[in-house]
Amino acid sequence: MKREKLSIIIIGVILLAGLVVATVTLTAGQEADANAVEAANQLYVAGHYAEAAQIYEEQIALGAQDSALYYNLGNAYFQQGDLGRAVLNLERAAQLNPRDTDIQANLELVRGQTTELFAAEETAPGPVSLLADATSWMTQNEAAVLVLGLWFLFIFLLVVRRAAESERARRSLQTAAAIVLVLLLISGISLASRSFVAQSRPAGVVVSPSVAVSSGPGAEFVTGFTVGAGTAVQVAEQQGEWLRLAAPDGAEASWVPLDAVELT
Amino acid sequence: MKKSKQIGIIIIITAILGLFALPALAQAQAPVTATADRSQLTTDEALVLTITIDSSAGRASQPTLPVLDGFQVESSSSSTQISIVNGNMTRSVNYMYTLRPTRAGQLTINPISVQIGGQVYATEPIIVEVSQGTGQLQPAPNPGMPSMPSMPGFPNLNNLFRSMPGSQQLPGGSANPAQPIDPADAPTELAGQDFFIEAEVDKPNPYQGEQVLYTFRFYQAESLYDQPQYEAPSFTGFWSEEISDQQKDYVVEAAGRQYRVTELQAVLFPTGVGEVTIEPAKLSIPGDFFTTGQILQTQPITLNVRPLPDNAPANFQGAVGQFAVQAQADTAETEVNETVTLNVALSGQGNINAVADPIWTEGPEWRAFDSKATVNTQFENGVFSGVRLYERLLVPTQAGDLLLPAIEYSYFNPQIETYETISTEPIIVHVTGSVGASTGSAAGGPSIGSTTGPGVDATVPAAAIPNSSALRPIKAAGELNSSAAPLTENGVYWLLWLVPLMLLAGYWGWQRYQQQRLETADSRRSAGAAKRANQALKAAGKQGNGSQAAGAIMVTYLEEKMNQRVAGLSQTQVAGLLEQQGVDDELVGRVQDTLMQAEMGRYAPAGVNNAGDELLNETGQVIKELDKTL
Repeated sequence: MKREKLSIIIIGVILLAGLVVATVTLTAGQEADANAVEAANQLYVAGHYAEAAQIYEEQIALGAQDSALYYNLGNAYFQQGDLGRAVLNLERAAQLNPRDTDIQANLELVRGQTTELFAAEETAPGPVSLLADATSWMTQNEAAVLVLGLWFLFIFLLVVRRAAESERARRSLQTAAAIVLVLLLISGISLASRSFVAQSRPAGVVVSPSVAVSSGPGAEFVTGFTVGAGTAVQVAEQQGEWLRLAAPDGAEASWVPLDAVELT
Repeated sequence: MKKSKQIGIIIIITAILGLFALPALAQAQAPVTATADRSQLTTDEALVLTITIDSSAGRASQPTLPVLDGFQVESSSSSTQISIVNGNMTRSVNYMYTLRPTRAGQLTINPISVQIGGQVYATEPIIVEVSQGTGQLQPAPNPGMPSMPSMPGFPNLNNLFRSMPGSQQLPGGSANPAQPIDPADAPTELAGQDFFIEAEVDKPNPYQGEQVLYTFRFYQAESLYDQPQYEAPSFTGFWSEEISDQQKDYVVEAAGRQYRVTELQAVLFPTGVGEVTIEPAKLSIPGDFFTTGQILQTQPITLNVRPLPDNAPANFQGAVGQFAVQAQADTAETEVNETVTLNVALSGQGNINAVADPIWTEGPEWRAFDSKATVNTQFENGVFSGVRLYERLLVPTQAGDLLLPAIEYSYFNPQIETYETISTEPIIVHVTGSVGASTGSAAGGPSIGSTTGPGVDATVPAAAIPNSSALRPIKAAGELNSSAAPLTENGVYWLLWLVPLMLLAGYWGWQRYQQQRLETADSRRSAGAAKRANQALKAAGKQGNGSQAAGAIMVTYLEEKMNQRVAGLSQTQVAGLLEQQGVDDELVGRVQDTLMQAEMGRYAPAGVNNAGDELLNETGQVIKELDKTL
């Protein structure tokens, strides 16, 4: 029985170590050049917003995916009056760091200055959206790690339950495993829903000052109305140089030129 | 029994709900309508089928066109109208299809289905009479032009003739008396004719987009006993406007006879340039008992449409006529996030239904909500005019004296043949409060007058300055927080999911192995007994204590081999056990001898036991023999 306990401890340690290693190695992204960011920040403070934005953009182009970088870039665009790119970059910052109060505050402020005429339609059936929202307070990677951790814990509890000596301990472990399984399913479906929503209706922001929404993928079609910079949209499909937006109530006739919208 | 009772209750509840829902369904207005712009055409022409969906009723799918027997779809387009009033958005979508008949005859456009909010709605079928054309196809009307009237030509013309003089109802009278034409102007061809028709336009050389008045006259010297059938031209190349009360009836004396004249008019706006021909209008005069019917036809009218001059202002969007624009805000003072309503009226003479909206230029300090234009038109003294009313909801997002910029509008005035630009006065709205102190919408509040009068502050604040006072500061380089690409797109992440499964499988496998070893311990000990005995004999030979070790090795071997305790048994008992195992007597005797010699060797004085090696050899031989039997 001593060997049994030892083997369970070994399994637990392997699982925990695997999870930690996975979290650390897989979630580590390319870091921005701190000196360059510091220089850009100084330019920003001095009021040279365009120059600051250029450096932030360069760092992003080099592969840095950093919420602070996107946040600073969004601020720099806002200061230049470019509402579209301000919303776009603050949205990107919020995706990478949804619990940052600075990002949320500035995003709300900037959104408040756009015309927001075009409300995106419901992207997915109610339960799917509801489940997708269940983990919206964390990033997609955090949700992925959570789901993996719950999976590890579930398997570990199964092993411990099998080795438990008393019936009472087995029952307790069985209940714990069932709870973990429920949490695993909820968070797993939520993660899948987020991926589904992100892939089927990728979110975007209008970056052109004003874009005429056309009834078809071409300049020859009728333009029904216009949307302004910073308007949040969801892209339903692409045909050549045109994007079809998910329309407010599902009508299939809202096309904009490809370069008028950038995906978040 | 219990289950059938439950089903019964469900059926009753469903039936009751159904009874309540039926009247509501019956009263519901179908949110989908289909109209064709003409019910009669030739195979040379095309019609525009317009499907209008009021998608306020719910999420609407694209219309599903049925199989169109006798038509081919030439082009399609759609337009959307969205209006937001007090935060409520209404939306209607028009899908327009240009259909060209492929054969003559009575063709039916079958019901078109549209799914709205999960419910399927179908339009009424549309029946179209197609006659054989000349084979020279005419250009299709553009189905995608916004605000284009759906009825080119005169509405309900056959009905209009019911009130014609000469019919049984209104001899010599009309509800809409008009100035009769001068008898001197009566057409010379009229002489000697009982019935005559003519058509004319007021401008043979209009500018593109300029109003042209088309007039059709029916001269009638004899009474008719049935309705004449009028077939209007299709007005290809024009936008035509429907005019209410367009019928004029009067009497004129010409060529020595009294003619009752019915006059119809249409307002046309040429859409292209160059020579455009209006096809002949036709009138079928029904026959009676004594005479056969006849079909009258007007002469085609050719217009030479002039293009607009090149020096158009930058903001010119195609309006032709004479226009005026006015703007008025419902308040001069408001608070941040309160609504200001800007009422704009674009009025004048011209194609008011189709002219472009003004270009709105409010800065980002305003959140603007467009509203659909409300259009009122009228036709007076041969001039088509009207007004487009806009109600723009504007929400200031910052405090200060905010500017509502002047609204400029350019048009071409064909009377003086120049472009003109009109403009409203800029309006300053004093906004108090701070961002975030929203107190709700003031839309629909009382109007307190215009701010365009004298005394209004003419200072224009700089536009496009974002409200950055509440912007939180940037993050320092030390606060950088890099993130990886999405984990779910990384193959390693999914491989990690297998790790617990592999550990689980390993754990279960190890447990099974342990159990198996436990179960086979005896047989494994038995199988390895000879090998271990030989190893022990070799070790004893090297140490030189063969006589002492041989007995113990033999006993251990027998115990392992037979899985039975042997130590402590007498030689007779050991012999009995071996015989039970099927060992022959001779080998049993050799075992007994080996054990006896070993026993004797244990008590022999040191150095006497020289036969130790021989005993070890014999023990080895005996064990080898035993292993074959046991």
